[in-house]
Amino acid sequence: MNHVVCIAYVPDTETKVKIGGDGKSIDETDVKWIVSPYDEYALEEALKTREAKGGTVTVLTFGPARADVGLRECLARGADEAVRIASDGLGETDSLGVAQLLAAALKGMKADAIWMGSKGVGTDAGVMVSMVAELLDLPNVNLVTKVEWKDGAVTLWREVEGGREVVESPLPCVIGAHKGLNEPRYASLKGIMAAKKKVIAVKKPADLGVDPAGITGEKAAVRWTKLELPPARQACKLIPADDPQKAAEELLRLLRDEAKVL
Amino acid sequence: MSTTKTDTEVHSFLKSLYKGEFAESLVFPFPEVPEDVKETVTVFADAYRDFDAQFIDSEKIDRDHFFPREAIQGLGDLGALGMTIPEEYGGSGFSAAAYCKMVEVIGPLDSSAAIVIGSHQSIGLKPLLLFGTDEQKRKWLPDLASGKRLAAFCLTEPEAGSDAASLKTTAVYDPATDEYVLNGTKQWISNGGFAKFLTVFARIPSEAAEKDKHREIACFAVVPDESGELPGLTRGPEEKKLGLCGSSTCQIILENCRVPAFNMIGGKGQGFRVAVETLNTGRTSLGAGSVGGCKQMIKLATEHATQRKQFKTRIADFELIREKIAEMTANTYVLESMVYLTAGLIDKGVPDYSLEGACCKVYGTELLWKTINEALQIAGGNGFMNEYPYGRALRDSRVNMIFEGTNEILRLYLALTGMKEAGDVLKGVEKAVYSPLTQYGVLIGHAQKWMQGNVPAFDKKLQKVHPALAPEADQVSHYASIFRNAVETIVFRNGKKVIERQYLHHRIADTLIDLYAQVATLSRVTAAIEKKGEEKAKPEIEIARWFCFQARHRMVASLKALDKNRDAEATAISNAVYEAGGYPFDLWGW
Repeated sequence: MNHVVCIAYVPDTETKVKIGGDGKSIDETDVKWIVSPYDEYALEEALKTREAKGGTVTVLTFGPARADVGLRECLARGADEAVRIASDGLGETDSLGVAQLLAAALKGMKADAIWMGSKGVGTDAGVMVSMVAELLDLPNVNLVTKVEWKDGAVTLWREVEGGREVVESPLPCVIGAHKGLNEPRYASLKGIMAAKKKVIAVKKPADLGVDPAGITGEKAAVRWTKLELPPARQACKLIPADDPQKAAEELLRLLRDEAKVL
Repeated sequence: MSTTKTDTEVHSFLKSLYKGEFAESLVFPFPEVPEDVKETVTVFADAYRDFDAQFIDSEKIDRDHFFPREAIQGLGDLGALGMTIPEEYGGSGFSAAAYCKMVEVIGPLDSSAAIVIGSHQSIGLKPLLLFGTDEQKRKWLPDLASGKRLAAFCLTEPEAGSDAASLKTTAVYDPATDEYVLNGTKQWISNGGFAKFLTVFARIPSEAAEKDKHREIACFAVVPDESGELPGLTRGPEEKKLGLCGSSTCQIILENCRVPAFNMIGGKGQGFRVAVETLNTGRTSLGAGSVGGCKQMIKLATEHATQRKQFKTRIADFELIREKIAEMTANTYVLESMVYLTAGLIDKGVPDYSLEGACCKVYGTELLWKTINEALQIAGGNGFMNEYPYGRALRDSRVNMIFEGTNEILRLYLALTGMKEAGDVLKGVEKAVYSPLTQYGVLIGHAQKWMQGNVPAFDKKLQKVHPALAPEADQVSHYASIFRNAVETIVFRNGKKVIERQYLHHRIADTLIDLYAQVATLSRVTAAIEKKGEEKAKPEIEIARWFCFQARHRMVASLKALDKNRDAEATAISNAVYEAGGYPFDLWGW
């Protein structure tokens, strides 16, 4: 079985996000980048399946050259090959644009299972699984927390409100991995050393038959118009409690007159 | 790398200093680590941190005095036990710089893990790596790299600590089976409780004269089966220690333990050299561990000092705190410069870095102790509470100044080796370092040579330091010259008694460490200025100025005291104490 795992290289969840000068993008200086945690579940499941049943695992991403570090980390964990669709100089696109690029690349890759995280922690849009599946005309199952393989098919457990749903899908299909599916492994030093020697295939959108003009600028259906940070939290106000009675009165007054919650 | 005539002749920067040369091209430019190596180590460090967070509970390990066995297997699977082993033998072939960087990461996360990893590859398997035959390496290194077998270095004995050459364990050849039969007891063996590859140093008895007794020593790989058993090998109970409580430390008792002759590493008579070289190469990484520990303490101290308010002021703004923070930080920068300059020498293939490694170990382990102490002081009362990390850090770091050569022995080594280099007459000084009280060759001959003016004057200057640091460079050149002449004078004045003048050795060693520290710092800051420009490198220039100023005071004090001192009084005082069996001056005469 051949697996392709689509990964996103996103700002670390612990990064303090700063808004860029144009007010609609993130200031990328000092950002630490990581493979999106949900994609790690996807990769782990693909690797485990390959170890049990043979085949190959290829990781695929769309991004600038820095994303090669993320791909190399996946290679270090055990992926066989890595492909990057270069975003350099492409201009701003949207989820559908990315889905088109991924789908175009996937068409040439003969995957039995296409994996990705249920969402990327960057934008949290959560649409990639369905979009890619739709563009490839494949079934998709998202929020998957358990997988069982059969001949030419797969049984998938998915989290739904208040319970679990068990579905069977023919192969190939697109699977969205969710928290709880597995415990991702660490890259071993051997893996890291081996990954260094591998070549990452870099493809331009044009190589995949996608016209950049069709997915960027005015053609992008979703555009960021403004980004705002949540308002800064105000400093904590301490009420002196020398006299409990007076302190309670003061607290009530503040809650009523200043915070206006009463 | 440009090589001048001087540098092809000189194989060690500090030895060249004693000879009256600056082998400047060994230490300039400051070594740079290739980007791909940085990337590998960065990714591996992240993986290691994740592993540590999930599997290593330092508080529990310290409390239970036990390092979980699954965690050791985990370290093996991760690749942390094969970092220094070449790829062809199943490891990752890390450069010295890459290994030091990882030690820097591992140490502060969990010091017991650092001891498991360090005892394994900094010393335990090092004899095999340095002196093993290809056949021996193929046989054992792959299992050592994967963590299937953990190594332990077995040199120390109850009666042979600093004087390792006096070890008593014997190895007697049995021609009938082509085996050696080992008998003896090894003491305080790190990883001793679970090691499955023990490098044991033992004496093959001979009729050799007393002064050649160290030539009897050989190194043997003692290799138990997969369950850790071997007939004749017993492991003592775990020692109860002040710190590093999770690491295993115990006696290894050998009673008619049979080892195939094939297992001798480095050949007959080479054991002492194997031990010394192993320890020499391992010391730089102790400096690296200290760098990591210091950085952790600076972080804790900064967090506390900037948050804690007293007298309506954050304590960080008080000059008594600034002084501490500046000192901790500048000294850590200096140590980092020394460690990675030395690692660079190793990676460049410079054959002798024993003095540089010893400088890193002595300076680093003492700096870490001081730095933890200062961070604890900044934390005030909290620092004394066990729920804060300072107490354990102090306990865990204390042994650094004792093991892998006590800092006292290393100071003697730094000074005596220098005297040997300076005069080139003190034969067998490496042994003298481990049996410093044994008599050695006569130095008078050299003193005569010196009197006749046959020793070249030291008038060299550091040429490659950036002009922004010209006063500091001149200072180093000036004191290097005074230092070198002072060493000559001491040799001349004391004759062969010089090897007993440990008061003087202390001062010589401290000055040598300060000289190396300054050269390393000036080299690194020069590189920083060339890379970023003077403006951006300003904080680093300030560190160099701060440190060289401090170092000057210390050097002046030490060098003056070579001549004018109260050493005779120190001897008299200690004599009085020894006679009384303790403090003899109680005010009430009790």
